[in-house]
Amino acid sequence: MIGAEDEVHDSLSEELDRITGNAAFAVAEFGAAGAAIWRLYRDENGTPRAEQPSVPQSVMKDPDAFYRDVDPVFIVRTSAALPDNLFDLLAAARGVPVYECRKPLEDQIRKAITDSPLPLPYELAVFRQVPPGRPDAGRLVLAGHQIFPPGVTHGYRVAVRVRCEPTDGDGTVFAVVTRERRPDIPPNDQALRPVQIQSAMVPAGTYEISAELARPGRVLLHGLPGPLSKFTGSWDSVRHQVPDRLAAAEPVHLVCLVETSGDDDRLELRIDRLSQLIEEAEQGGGELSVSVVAYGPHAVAWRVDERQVAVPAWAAQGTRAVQELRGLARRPRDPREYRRAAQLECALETVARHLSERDGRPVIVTAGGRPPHPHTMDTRTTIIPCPERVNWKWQADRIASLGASFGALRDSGARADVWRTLGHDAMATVDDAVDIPDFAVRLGLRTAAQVVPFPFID
Amino acid sequence: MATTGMGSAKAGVPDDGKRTYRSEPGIAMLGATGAGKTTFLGALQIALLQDERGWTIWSKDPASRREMIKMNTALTSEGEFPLPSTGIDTFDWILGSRRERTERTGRLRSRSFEESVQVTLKLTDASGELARSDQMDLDDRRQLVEQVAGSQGILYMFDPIREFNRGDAYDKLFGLLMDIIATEAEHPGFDGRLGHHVAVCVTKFDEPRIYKTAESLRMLVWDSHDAAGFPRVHDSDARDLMHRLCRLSRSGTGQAVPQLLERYFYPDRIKYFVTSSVGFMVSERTQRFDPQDTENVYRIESGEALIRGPVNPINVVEPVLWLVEQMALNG
Repeated sequence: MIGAEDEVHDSLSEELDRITGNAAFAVAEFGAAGAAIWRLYRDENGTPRAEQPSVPQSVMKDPDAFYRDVDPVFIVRTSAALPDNLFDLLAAARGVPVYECRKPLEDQIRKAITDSPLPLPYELAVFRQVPPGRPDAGRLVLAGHQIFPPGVTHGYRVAVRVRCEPTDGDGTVFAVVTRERRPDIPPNDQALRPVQIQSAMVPAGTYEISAELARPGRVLLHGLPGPLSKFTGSWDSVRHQVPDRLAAAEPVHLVCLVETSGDDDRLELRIDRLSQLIEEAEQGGGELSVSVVAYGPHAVAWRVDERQVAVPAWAAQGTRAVQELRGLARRPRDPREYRRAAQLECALETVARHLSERDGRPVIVTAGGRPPHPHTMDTRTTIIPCPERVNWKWQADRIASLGASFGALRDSGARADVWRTLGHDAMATVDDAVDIPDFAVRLGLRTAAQVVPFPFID
Repeated sequence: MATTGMGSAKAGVPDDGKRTYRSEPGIAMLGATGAGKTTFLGALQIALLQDERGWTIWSKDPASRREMIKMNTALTSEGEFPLPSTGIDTFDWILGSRRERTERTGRLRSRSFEESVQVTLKLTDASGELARSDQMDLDDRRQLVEQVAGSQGILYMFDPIREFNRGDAYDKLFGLLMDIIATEAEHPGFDGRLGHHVAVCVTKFDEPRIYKTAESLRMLVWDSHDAAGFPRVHDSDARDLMHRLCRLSRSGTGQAVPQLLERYFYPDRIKYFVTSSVGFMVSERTQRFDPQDTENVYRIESGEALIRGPVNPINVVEPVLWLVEQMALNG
């Protein structure tokens, strides 16, 4: 047999170029094991498809029926030895080209499909906002942003700059679509038809991604910080999650309470963990303000000077808050400090007094170990009461009533009730490795206020 | 364990309406480690200063004087507790006062004169560890037993917090009493009871659990003339308070402590006092007692206990003077 792969490839390409709409054509492979019939067509996106239809045995034994019903454009013979019925079919070829090849027809179809140019432009499904000044300004519109024009083939690459907003646990959907070209419908109203739908957990931000056409129907996206995976939902369901408008990102006010008592290593550990959390929260994409509240033990003796709860940063930027936190490591210490409690109740009172709705949803994270001073004599613990008679529980309730979330980065030995309350939404021990991203998610520092499934093109 | 000894009484000679009365009765001090014996001695100096009866304390012996100053400085200037004894330290302190006395000079005549009273306190401050049964054959223990047996009065320091946490008061007291009785039994006329006067001091009154127990039993009384507003437990209620606190003994043997004392001493020679050597905490802001914050002791990072505010001893002078008075009355 003489190899005729190029002729087969050219024939397949010509036929693929020719078919539109519901048109299809068939090709056949005759081999030692029998015949394989392939039917090629294009789907609604113009992507070439190949399938093996079921052909009755009677058709394969009757040349008239075979050339009438199957009507192959050409036949590829991949073996000198054939079953008798195929010899009979070849003998009655009736002008249908027969190519003798070593390469199986399936591989050649695959190659031809890969090499075929796009008949329709490919677009990335994106959000656009109606620009200011127009009716419905700010409204979100799901649109297509062309990434591949018609006629391009595999290997074509294009760079796209997209902006991702915080969204829910399913992540951002990256869908390649085509548009239903109907002259009677304005382009913006033409339905988008999915070619490929993937999703990725992407932190809010702007990304330069590269889209590469691997073959018709398959686009590779490079440059995202997280891996893409097959989207498990349906196109219709994700399409209907489109919000009318982009809600302003919920401002968050992260309040870090840090206990300054204890040894230097422990304090550094608390500062490190809180700094990591602030940096993590800054990647949340939303508006973030950070406060730092430092507290130690009350001066329970006349000979010890009282050091009030300090607020080195309030509703400040994250970088400034981290700077102030670091400064706490150099604080002087009185060797006559009380060891059994810290003025946590007064720190909470300070927070409750300072909190304002305009700074955002409060997220209170406490890094410490000692219990608060009780507001009154406590014969169970015999801890000396707070000189201001502040009740930590009341203060925590007061803060909770403002919709606050509570996270605790406690010392491993801290067991008091207060840590259950202060760690209501997220709890970790500073001595252990802390999954800071997870901690941030549990406090709502990394989740969105609404589902924004598609990226934006600005 | 600490002991204070006061030697036998001596009468002075009348001199132009003034007399000097010297008393040297023996007073021993018993109590477990940490019961506050050394602190009690340190607080005695302060308590005498605050007492209106005008008692003073001093020492002729240089070593005793040095210890007196050291204890005083620790409590008042440093806010620290005097270091507890590890063996037996003996100090000679002198309690002094003046009192008016009337004496009959004939069938229808009498005259008054001011009498100077001096009581020599022979203080033997011994470690509470000497009360342990495994210390019985040690010289220090034997010395302690002899000094207690030879004294006329005993200050017994009962620490309810230690009893609550460890519950060993009965065991330690019983062993020591047996040794003392064995010594006394050699004397003719011994009838099975010890003749000492015993001032039982229920210590750490400022501790919240003890304060609250007294409050719940409605035993707190206030002196309207007390500027700081400190409460007290009247001596008549002190025994009942001790009984109630003994119920919380960790070992369950605490309730037997008063019974032990009242069985081996004459009950009419025992008096109970609710005491606190450092007294109640006084608010720095209001300068007054705060019923929600009573304890005048706190612990720092190193574990050391320190004093929070001024030292205002409660019932520290009273047991000592009661013993002195009882011994004087009974010769």
